[in-house]
Amino acid sequence: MSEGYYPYYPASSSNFTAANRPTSNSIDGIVLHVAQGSWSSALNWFKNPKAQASAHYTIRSSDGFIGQSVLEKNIAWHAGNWNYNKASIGIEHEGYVDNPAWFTEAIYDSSAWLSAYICIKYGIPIDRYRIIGHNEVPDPYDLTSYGGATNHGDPGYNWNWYKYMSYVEYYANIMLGY
Amino acid sequence: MRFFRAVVCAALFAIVLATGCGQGSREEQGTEATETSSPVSESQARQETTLENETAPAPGDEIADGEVTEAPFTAAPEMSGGSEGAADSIQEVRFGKHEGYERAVIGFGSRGAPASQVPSWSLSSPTGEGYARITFPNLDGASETEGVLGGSILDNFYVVRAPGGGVFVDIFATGAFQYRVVELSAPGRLVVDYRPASVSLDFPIPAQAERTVLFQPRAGEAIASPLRLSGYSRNFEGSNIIVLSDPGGNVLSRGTALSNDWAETWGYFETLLEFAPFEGEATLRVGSRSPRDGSFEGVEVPVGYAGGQG
Repeated sequence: MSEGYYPYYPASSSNFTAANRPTSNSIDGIVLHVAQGSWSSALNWFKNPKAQASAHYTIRSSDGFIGQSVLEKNIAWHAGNWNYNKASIGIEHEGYVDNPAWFTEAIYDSSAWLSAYICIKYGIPIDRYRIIGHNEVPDPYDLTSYGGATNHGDPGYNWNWYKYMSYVEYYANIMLGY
Repeated sequence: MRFFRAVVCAALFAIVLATGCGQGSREEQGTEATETSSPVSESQARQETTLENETAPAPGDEIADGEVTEAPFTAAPEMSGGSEGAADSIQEVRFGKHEGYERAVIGFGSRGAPASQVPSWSLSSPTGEGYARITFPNLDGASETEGVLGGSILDNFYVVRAPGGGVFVDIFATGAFQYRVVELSAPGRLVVDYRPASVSLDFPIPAQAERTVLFQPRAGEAIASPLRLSGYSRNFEGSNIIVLSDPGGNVLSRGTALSNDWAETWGYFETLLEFAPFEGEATLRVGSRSPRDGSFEGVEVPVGYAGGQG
């Protein structure tokens, strides 16, 4: 699968750092987010230079449709921690942390498939040290806090990590021919 | 303005106003002389006030059929009107400058096309404040969510996801003002005129930054614990951080607040912050750290302690 395979809704160049990963920086992790909003509004806002934020991918709740805003070679601004930004792929999920109804089978399935693909492509181990939530990114200004510099709580307690990781492993095995 | 002695007006009549002319960042174009207008609601009429030194229609206004009863400017704290279900979104906010007053025109959409009527609305203009808030309980989104109007009295506006559903539009003034509201149909627009008032504001204008507006507390306010903070933002994923620091820069308290939107419109947030007594002037910072590098972006207001000796 080539870069830019997914429908591309390019973020403003003001919202990410151009790079040439994995040559310029290795990619060794995935950070999962919940958008606190709709799929379309997140993609549209990333196009606005005022956003000063972005994610590589955003997944729709109703059908798992994947939209890409930033190419994987570039550094999206999603983690609130520059070291994590440099080395990760950011995946947004449509919905709200307090409402599990947004976390549909379609969104788990599609996101897990995407994570499995990214892990295989870049040789990232499939475990919870490399596939983490935004709420697990260290706060660079306070070593006792997480969620990046603004202490985000997504994907939150309604996100089913056990289910998600089992799906990632399932799809990775299929992709590897097991 | 609202400090004037207000008397209740018997009724408001059908008004036809042109929305053209002017200068500014988003100018009203054309005279739209053939459009029709609807009377404001009965509740509005009851609350409408007449004021001294009422202005005549501006030279730039063109009046259809030669009939006009100019709506008086008012300081009424509340008004309402519109038709339920007439629109589903805000399509644009335009600006016009007239002799003696300035005009913001809110245009509405319905299923992607211009709405023919003005949707239900209620306006709040708290005494002594430099803004009016117009709430549209049945609207779901907006094509335009903020802008600098750039007038001498009309300053800027924000479209915000309302906490109880719908959206509200805050129209900020540069100082004390009187206002009037007119509904126009075909297409549906809400005209809001501001004119300067020769009094001072009782409260500072809410602190504003690129992606954060802090309504409570205001700059210079004496605060007590627990402090109720409110405002709206467009920070990434609706996450806002709050830090209260003493004069020496030591953190007295910190917290977070989640906005109800950020990507489609400005998102409203409200939270409580607890802190220990302090002396001198503290600094309250509300905003977000950049998802890129963690740098702070937001508002910073000085606050005192309201609980006696710290």
